[in-house]
Amino acid sequence: MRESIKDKVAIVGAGCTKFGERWDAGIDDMIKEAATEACEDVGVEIKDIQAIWVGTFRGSQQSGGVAPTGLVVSSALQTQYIPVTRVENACGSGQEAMRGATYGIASKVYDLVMAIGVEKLKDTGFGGLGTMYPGRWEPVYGAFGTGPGRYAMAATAYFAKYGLPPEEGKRILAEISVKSHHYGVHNPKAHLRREITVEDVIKAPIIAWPLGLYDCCGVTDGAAACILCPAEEARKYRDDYVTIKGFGIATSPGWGKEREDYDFTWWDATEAAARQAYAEAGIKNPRKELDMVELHDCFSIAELIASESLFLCEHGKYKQEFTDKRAYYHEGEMPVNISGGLKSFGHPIGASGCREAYEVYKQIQGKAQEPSRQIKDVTLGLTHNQGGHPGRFICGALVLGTP
Amino acid sequence: MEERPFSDISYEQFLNEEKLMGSKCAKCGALFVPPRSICIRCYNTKMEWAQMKGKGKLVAFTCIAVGPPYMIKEGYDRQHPYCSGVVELEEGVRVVARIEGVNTNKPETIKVGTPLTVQFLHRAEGENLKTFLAFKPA
Repeated sequence: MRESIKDKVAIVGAGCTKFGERWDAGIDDMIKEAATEACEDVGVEIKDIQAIWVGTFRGSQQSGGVAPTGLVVSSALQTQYIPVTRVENACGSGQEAMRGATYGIASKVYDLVMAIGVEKLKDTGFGGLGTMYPGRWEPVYGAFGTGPGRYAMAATAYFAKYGLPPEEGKRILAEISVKSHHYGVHNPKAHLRREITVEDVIKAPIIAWPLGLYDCCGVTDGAAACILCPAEEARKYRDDYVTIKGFGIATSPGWGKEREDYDFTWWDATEAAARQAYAEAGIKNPRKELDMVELHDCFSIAELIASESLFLCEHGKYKQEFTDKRAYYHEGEMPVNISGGLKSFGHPIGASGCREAYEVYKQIQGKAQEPSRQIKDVTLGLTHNQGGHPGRFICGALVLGTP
Repeated sequence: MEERPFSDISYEQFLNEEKLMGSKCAKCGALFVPPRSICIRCYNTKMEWAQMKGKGKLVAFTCIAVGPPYMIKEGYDRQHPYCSGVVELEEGVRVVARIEGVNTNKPETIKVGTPLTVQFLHRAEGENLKTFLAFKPA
């Protein structure tokens, strides 16, 4: 690395649609909704944006199986011949868009750019369960696996490694989902807004043992956008802007399924991305220094292992450091996913990375929509977004903070 | 030992013949199951076939109750989940495979560390024969 990105780029506006089953809106509508809120937040118009990066996995049913292009956004926003680049790294696409926008500003080519993530999933019928008959590398890479199934294997490996009986392991995971749903209730833009109990989670139908219905995020429509500018120009737009402190993205060599020393209970790409981001941000003790974390909890076990692999506690110490201390609540010592997370806020694939940045940005400004989930005095927050599955990850870690 | 290319097609042919085969790097000795034609540790391109004994132990698993359409078609559902797992072979490498011979309705009885032995699941016949890798308790 030649230079750290720290404090060179600012976020001066952000927008996010209501997440959920958006039968009322097309992909164009959701892009407009998020982009308009972001522009109004900065006090600019779409025509002032000089370049856009859009993160989307499959766009919408409209793209008909063809990978979407930048046109998905240029046509929705009617941008006039500016570069609009579609980026894709599976569930990590949103953060990949943030990265394009960040380096676009850092290159000094642009003054004002947008990162937007969007997915209109419900009308595609996509359920994350896999639809293709095992082909080329089956049964080796998939073993008839599903998204939940691949994460579930990490859960059974974790339980075995740390001597947790299945009942106790499931209870630790259930507490995470209870917390996510609690904050969903307090977040007007969240998809799933209902309190649940540990018993609800444990008794829910199994999807892929040990993960049940409430251990899995749903299928959600949504979009989120951030507007970025050079840090030295940020004050033109607002005083309470947020700067990028560190940005790491790690694409794993995908060795997880063949290396004998890979045990699925800690995630190499997650650790690598976190190390890059913390080094740039100058963070030595993330648990102490970070005021909040928005991490990629597509499954309850994902929140558990990501917390450890982002160095928020030692490997194997999650129960003591998070569950027992209730540290992950907004008044706790290390708040995690106070938005409701992917679990409850929702996970429109390409949108999540931008949505996490939206949440940290709003929390830093003290503008969480309801005081019941406003974290006190946030000056430094982490967003974590990852695509792929355990052993085969593309992972990103983005640190945001006050200038 | 065999003149077949180090490809997934060869690998599947071997499975049809009830052999679990990998490739071994002639230079650094790294082992790959399924076979790779280029060593991902030292980038050497000279490989040799290596037959696995088909013995190993369970490292991680899941019992899938809500599966993809092709598994539902095979009769797997919430009342009849199927088990997928990561198996560490005696030779040191890991493979992902179906796990047979376990009680998928009582997944809490399935234990990581269980010794396993290979099983070949043949589907269809003749030219359409396709064999999936599975393991069962030894």
